[in-house]
Amino acid sequence: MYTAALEFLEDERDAWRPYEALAGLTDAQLERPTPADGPGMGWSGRELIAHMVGWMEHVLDVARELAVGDRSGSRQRAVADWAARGDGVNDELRVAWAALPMADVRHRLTTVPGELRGTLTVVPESRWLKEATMHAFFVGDTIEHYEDHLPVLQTVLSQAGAA
Amino acid sequence: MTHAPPPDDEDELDEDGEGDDLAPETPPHEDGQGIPQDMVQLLEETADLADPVEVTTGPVGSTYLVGGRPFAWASGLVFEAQLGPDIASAALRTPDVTSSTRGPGWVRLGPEVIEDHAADRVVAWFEMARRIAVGRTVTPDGSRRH
Repeated sequence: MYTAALEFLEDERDAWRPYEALAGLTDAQLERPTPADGPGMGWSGRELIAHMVGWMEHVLDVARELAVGDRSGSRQRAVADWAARGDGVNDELRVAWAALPMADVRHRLTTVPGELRGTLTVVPESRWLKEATMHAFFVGDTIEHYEDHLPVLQTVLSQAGAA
Repeated sequence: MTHAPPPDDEDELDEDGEGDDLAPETPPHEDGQGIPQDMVQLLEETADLADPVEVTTGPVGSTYLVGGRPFAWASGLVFEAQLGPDIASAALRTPDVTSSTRGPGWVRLGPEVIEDHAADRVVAWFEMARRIAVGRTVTPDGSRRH
């Protein structure tokens, strides 16, 4: 349970740091799928970025809304969407990101994490860290989510000879 | 892809003067390594400077405008942005931030070194200020004023 924004932001930064290595891979390395029957689940580095940063952009949207108001419409819609479609949401995210130029994928990889942290510095703690549902959301969709997908990251990096 | 962030568990928790700061050629210590030690350069590399944002650069720094109205300014190790009163008051509680003389809702970030924490705020606050500024130029029917 985090009680101070700085503590969360430090832990989030540390948890994300392994993913920063993805920026050092070549386009070809990022496009190459991992074995489907391994811990990488067949994902490519690009797909991993799409999934991680795509969800991080949702967290950023929520943070932007909470910086200026008590409630996040984006979060409410996402909860309803997930309940209705489940992994269809992920499929949609994958398709949307697959259409992006690699330069855009790389740009988002390198800018969205910092923008999220910077935005959270101006969200009143009462709206996220000290509100149980939002606390669970911000931890679950960042730090815990990063931990969930470390096996995929490690497989992608190993395959590229970067780990 | 099959994995997703866990959905919210509602029951899981139950508790409650411009131009006066020139950038050094190299960072004074390692914290800022890899990060441009110049706010203008940092924004060039990270910010959305596309239309309708305009940038005017002069001897006293770079001013960022939408619809002819400034919403941010940068020079050397100093960055200022118009965040509005509520966000600005939150921003003032973070390190190296003071009120700006530009007016209400403006804040001034002036770290000794642009390290991770400072860079994150510059990137995020610029985007927030940009969105606020763009929103000001939108008419009730959703179209831009110009």
